[in-house]
Amino acid sequence: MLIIDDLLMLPITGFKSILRTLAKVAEEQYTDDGPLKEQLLHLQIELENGAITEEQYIEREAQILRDLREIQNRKRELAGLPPEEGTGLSGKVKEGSGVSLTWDPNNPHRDFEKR
Amino acid sequence: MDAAAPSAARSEAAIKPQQEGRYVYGVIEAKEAANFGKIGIGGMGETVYTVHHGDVAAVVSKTPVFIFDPTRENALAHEHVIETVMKSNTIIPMSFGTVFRTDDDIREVLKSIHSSLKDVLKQMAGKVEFGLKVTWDRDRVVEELKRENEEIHRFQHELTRKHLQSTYFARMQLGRMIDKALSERAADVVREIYDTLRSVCVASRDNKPIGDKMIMNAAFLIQKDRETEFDEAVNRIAQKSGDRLNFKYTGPWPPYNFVNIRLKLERGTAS
Repeated sequence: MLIIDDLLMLPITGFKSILRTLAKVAEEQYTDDGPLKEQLLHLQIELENGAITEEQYIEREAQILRDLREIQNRKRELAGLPPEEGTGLSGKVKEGSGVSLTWDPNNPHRDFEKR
Repeated sequence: MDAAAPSAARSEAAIKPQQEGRYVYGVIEAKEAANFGKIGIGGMGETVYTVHHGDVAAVVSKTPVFIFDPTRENALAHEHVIETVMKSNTIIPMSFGTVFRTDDDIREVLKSIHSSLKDVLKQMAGKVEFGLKVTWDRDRVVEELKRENEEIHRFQHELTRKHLQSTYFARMQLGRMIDKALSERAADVVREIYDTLRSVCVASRDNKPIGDKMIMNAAFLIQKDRETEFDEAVNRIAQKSGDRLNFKYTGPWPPYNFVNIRLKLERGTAS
């Protein structure tokens, strides 16, 4: 695909490539659920600390979850899928599936040693 | 934990009652079918049972809903099942909200990744995870630093002498000095805690702290028979630090931070 890739890349130079980058960034922010998930974690800590009441928690949690769902649907839309699948995991197991350790048994404290 | 509240996790999806999925909590080693009681997620009191392939089994319950929002209620129900299973088993936990279509789909997965499951189950046997979040009173530490940190103290003194406190540049510079001193002190504190716990645990993960009061957000993998020892070590540090630090110590958890499950299926992906 080298030739085709090169040809495709040709017209996207200078200003056009900047526009494309801007579009990409906008799209990512539009579909990035990281900040919302972080908000949810913050909220849980506030509840545990007693900074907010259970009622306040439930109310704000509902709002964050609504926003999260919206982003998930937006992602699906961009991928050309209907808003919600809701059918569960199914079918043949593809390559790359499996379980692994997230740490190295020969260096089990790598995270802290790096600090 | 209150799993009896009859609220469906997702009302619009419940319109299709004839469809039924399988919520998967995790995988254990077990040849015989097991029943963990009517404690399934979703508030309907579904039975938690096992789906087998040879000597490994998924812990599951039926559900009319395929998408679970991570509400506190759902998260607690999920945790309660894991907790119950952990009393008698080593479990590889699935991510919250993993739903399969049928028992056969689950068997297919168990079969396909059997060897890696066995391997990780063996490595995790008799081990549990504990979480340790440490927070401090940031304002109080800043005040301490202003008094005790020579460089900051001198700089502030200088500002006062020259009546510069209110200039933007001076405040910026002081802010930077304080930030630097704060993160250095946080690193020292974390180092000290970690040094005390290191010898009592199998492995550790250093997650990103949440918010500006938290200085440590760690997970520790512990050999079950050393749990008391680890508890004591945590308590010792907590006592030693008095009210300077706040310790939030949780567990035992399944090894969420130490195991990674990746599933790519023809229809759907979960990790």
